[in-house]
Amino acid sequence: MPKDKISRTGKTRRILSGTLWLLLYIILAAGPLLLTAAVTRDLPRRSFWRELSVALGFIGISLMALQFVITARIQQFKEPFGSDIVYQFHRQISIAAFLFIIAHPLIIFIESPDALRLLNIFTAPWRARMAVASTIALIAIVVTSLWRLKLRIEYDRWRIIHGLLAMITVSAGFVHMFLAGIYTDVPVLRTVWMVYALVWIGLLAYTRVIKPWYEIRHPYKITRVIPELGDAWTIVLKPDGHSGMRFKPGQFTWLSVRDTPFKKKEHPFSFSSSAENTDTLDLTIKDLGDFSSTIHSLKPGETAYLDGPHGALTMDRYPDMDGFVFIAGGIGVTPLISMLRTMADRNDQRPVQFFYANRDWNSATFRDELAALEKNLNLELIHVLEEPPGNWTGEKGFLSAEILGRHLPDTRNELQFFMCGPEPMMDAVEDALQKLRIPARRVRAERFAFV
Amino acid sequence: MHRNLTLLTVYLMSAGILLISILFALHQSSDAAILF
Repeated sequence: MPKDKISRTGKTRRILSGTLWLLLYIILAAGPLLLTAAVTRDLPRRSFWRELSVALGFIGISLMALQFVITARIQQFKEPFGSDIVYQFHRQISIAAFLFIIAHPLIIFIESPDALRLLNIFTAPWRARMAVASTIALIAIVVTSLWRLKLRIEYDRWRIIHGLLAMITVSAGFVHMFLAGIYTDVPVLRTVWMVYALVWIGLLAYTRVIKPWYEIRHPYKITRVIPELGDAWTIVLKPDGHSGMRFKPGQFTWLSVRDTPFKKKEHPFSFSSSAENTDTLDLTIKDLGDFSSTIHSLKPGETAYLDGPHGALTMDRYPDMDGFVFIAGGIGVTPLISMLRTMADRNDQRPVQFFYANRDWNSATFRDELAALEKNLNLELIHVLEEPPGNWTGEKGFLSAEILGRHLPDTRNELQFFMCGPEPMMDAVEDALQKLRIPARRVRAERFAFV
Repeated sequence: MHRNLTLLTVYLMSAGILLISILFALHQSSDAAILF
């Protein structure tokens, strides 16, 4: 099959599977409600506001349970969208779920103020206690997620708290729903919600037990820890007693070191090695003051656990593209150097324009290797420095539409853009690319911070 | 771009789900029994 046809088929397949996943999501979120409407015609009628409250409660609990599917790192589900978009969706839909769930008791309290007595957990029945527990946990999730940095909650601790609170929200929500009865007393609806609850418990078992167990059975040994420019370190990993994993250039993995994967103290890092190198895997990590500051203290021989590969930021999705534009900010270079190293190994001579933004010249991780790759590949390197040295003749300041516009070729709309970097830079570059009228479908991005 | 598209999807889905909830409440309630 010709190259462009293979790619178009891949693209169509991604669009189709993305649409199907979204459709399935809507069906799973709203399906039980539609089924309820269909099978409960004989039940006594209640007021509009009471029914709306119940509907929002059902929808809210479905959406919260579905959050576990979204974050379970199921590759088939994430593949059409990419991790970045999936996590954005996770964050944004959680606000909608929060509003639906909060509206559920509020409507009841406004319609029948008598119901406020149910907030007294000492005298209230268990169904109300469960509702209070679920709602408080949900409020705590939103507060700790939106204001994690302001509350100075360290990332590892936040992830544990986040997981626990989410489990309390959903499990207490399900118990409340079953105890509250009326609709869940109807056998077919009770069965449907039981299936939901069981699938949710199964998903928990998969992410919290089965996956960590698999990681423990497939460990990696650290063979080297190499200092790099820009306060970064490369750790070289070798599969220990198994054949390792194949990744696509640009993808990332979750890394656990010095802790069992069961503790979920893991962090996402891009592979920096070539995807063609199957013996070892490189992860290049910048010391950002959190977990990453322990990387340099790792010693050869230590064990690491990986959950991956993940992510859709990869040129392998675009085999028919005639050229690429890479945009990196600081340590965002890692997925892009993986792509360049892979291109070198594959002798891929498609043109690549690489905008590399850094604070200063010594922060430019891999700058020497990039210069060497410029000779072997069809690569044009454009360094952009905020604080350039005195004799600097290259681009200065922040990466802007002007700088991009000066270098991008006229065929810019036919190229595929990949960018990776810190949030503020990504926002600025996305705006710049919009100004330059680069179509959104041509831009693939990955941000460092999930929260 | 992609962020805006994701946000738009979330808005549309939330609006759709809210609409389904309102229709459900109308369908189920005694207040609007005449409609169905």
